[in-house]
Amino acid sequence: MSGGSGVPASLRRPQRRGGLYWGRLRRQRTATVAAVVFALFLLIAILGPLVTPYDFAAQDASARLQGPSLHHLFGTDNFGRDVLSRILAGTRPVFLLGWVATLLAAVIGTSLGLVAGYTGRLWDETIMRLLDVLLAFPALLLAMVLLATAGTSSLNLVFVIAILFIPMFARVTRSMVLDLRTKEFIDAARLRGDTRRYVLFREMLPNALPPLIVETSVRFSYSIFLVASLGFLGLGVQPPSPDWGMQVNEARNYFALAPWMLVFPALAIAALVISTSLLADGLRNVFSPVGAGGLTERR
Amino acid sequence: MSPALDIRHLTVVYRTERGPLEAVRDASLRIEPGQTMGLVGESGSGKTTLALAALGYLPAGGQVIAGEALIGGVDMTSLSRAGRRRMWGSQVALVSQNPQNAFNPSMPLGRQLDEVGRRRLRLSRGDARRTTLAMLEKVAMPDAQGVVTRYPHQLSGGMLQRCALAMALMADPRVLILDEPTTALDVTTQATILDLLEQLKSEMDSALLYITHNLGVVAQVCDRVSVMLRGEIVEEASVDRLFAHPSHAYTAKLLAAVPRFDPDAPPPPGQGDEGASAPGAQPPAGAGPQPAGAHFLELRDLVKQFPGGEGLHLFRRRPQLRAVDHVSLWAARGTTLGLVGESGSGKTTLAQLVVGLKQPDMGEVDMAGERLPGLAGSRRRPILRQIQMVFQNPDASLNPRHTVGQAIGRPLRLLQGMDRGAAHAEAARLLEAVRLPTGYLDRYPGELSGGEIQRVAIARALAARPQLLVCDEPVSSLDVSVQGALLDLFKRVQLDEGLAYLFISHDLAAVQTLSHRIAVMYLGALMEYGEAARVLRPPYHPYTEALVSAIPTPDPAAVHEAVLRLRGGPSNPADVPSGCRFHTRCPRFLGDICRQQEPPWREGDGDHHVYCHIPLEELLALQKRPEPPAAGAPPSAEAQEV
Repeated sequence: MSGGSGVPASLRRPQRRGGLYWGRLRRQRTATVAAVVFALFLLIAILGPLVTPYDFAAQDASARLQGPSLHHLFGTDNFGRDVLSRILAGTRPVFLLGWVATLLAAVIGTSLGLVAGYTGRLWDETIMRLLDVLLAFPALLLAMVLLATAGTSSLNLVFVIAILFIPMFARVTRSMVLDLRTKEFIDAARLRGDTRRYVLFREMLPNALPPLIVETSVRFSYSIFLVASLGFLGLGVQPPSPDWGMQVNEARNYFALAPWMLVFPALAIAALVISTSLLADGLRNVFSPVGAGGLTERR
Repeated sequence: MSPALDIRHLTVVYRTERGPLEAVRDASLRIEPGQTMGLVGESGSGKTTLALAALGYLPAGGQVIAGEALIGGVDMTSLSRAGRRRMWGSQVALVSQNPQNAFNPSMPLGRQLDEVGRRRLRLSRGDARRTTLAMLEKVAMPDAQGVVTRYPHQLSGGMLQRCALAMALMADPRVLILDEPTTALDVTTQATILDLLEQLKSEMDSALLYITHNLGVVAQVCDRVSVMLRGEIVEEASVDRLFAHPSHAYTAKLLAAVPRFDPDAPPPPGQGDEGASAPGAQPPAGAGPQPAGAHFLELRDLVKQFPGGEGLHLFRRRPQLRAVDHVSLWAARGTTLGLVGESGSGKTTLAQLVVGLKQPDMGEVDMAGERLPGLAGSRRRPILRQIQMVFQNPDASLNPRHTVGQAIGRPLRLLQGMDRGAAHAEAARLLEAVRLPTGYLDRYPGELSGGEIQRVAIARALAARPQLLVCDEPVSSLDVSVQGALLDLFKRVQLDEGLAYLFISHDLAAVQTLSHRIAVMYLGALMEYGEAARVLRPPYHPYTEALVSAIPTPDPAAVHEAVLRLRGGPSNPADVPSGCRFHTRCPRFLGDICRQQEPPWREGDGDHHVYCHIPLEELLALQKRPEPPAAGAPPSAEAQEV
């Protein structure tokens, strides 16, 4: 089609953006289901102890390794603790650790990416090559080394995960900036003498936000997995707090006797990781520009 | 004889996020074999959708809900996917607007063309290649043997479009659909492609459907024309009838919008006389002190080089590409300086030097007698705000995440120090000045059409209260009907605000309507400049002459004889030809003198300068109309060579 974006004028009616985004999300069935599952976990994380049937740390020697029943829906573990309560109680730390680490990485990584992409040359090379060094190590290995050196604590866990995620955010932001830098509205800003800060944060950042939001949700799902993996290896949240990865690790020895000990925490990890990544996929579609067709894919 | 393409009462609906949208409503169209039908309408009128439906190639979400499209008696809309595949390429072919997207960038062109012969015609490898070469000869491709080994990025847009035509015609389809085949090309290239189409038409019996928004193009190639408006065909007539007696009001409006090039048209109003003849003329009162003899805007000897050349240059210096090569120009206050040239002539780079987006390697930009620092970043705010720019590409000229109000409000608050309320009120006033409703303040660019976006861009530039507006092809990507309205707006704004324009375009007709003075650029250097009326009338530089003759004539009765055409595209800017840089394509090429010596600047009346070895009197004699095509025939004979 000639000129313009080829969108018929009648489609260009203004509409409130929130409503548009929400409508786009709801039209994707997988993403909607994922959003519901994610919301459920979020609710559990917020309500915390209010929803757990038992104290997650309460031991009951008389009720050890019991299978799922009406009293203990997910069964009990080797100390007679309620597995369901431990999973529910484990949701909040996972969310807290994951979100804090991811957001920290997002803020630092995005800032580095903005500076690298916009200033170019020496700064760009220096920042990006240093981040490449981080990327060169396998994530889990690097996390183990750092945690082994710094000692295991929740705070260190947050920092380590953030460090691991910074390069990804920086790269996404930088590639967006490199593309935006050639746009004519940026030239227009330079021609009216706008400051670098305005150009970076008001002209460029809003345009880089959609891919960054998607990246954030992808990273969050990775972080859950990472926390669980480190917990499994004993480098995560320390006992007696209820960590899913740690639960899986403890359950290994009792797998033949009490498979529920392993299956339910593993399911919890899988459900949260998968729902978060599917939600991220859905968000990718939601944030395609207004008026550019949104969900229509070409043959 | 049964029609080659018979579209009957076709209705197409798109499912969209905001409900179903009827893109084509009850459209009927028939083309006999050997006939060419023009399909004309603005963007969004449904003409491309109609063509895609006839191809059975609607994008996802599009659906034919009524009617049929018969090609040789077969209904494309009801065929299975396999059935459609058999039709594509052999019975119906498409040439689209952008030839770059029509070819696989990682495969030599020869192999892509051979595929049609091998798959559709079941030819052997050798026969397919022979057919390919024969087709390339047919579309007048220079060096067909060489082209088959090259990759798409190694060919210019015009040459690629020739390849696309060759590919489409290979299997001798019943129907050939051309969707804006020349819109993305330079005027000079467009002219040669149109010539080619006209010639091919007489040699084959395919039915052609020619889709365009430009009625001027239609006059040359089409037999009949259908006009589309909001999904409906509102008029269908022979070309002669349509141009002489348009029966629908919309057709008449489209006809009126076609830019007409007329060198005898009165010059645009404005302070055009000031400064043009008297270099010492005083600027209007209140314009501040200005040294006598200085022009409002003066470019002195500007040079800008880029590292150029293809491939790796590990051990030697990259060749320098001179995008702007010693350009000196001036413009008077409140007037328009038009800058014309093909793509790659350095017009945009020159604009960027003036506004300060690029630092010149040599030379200076003076405004009101004061030398400006090279880069915008080092210019003081009072200077910055005096020069603003309107950009070419509506898709990128506004920030998609800012509302119109934010876009216009920012310069008001930054440069005029207004508070939020005052900026809002002033933005509303500016929107009115560019003839947009004030309700647009809350809209996002994605919700505006291309023409509306350019209006907002003008309002944003005006918000700085500039004295010079640099416009880089501001109307080129818009529909012809929208272009006219925008050019009128430019004219009015100039009168109201006393602005000077540096107006850049490859379209001479657009430049002519606005310009008091015109400069013609080729490969980074000036070829001709002076008062508009002098530049656009003989004697002119042979390059200007070719640009003028490339403008499509919106008149089916016009005889196309002895037209001047440039061969090939501009030379590689990294390897500028010796002597006169235009000699490789010059229709008035003299011989060794052009190849070896730089031509002198020849001066005429009205500050008219022509960079040519041929004296003005001789140019005038050669170019006077009507011109006998036989006498020595330097134009056409030279133009066809190579």
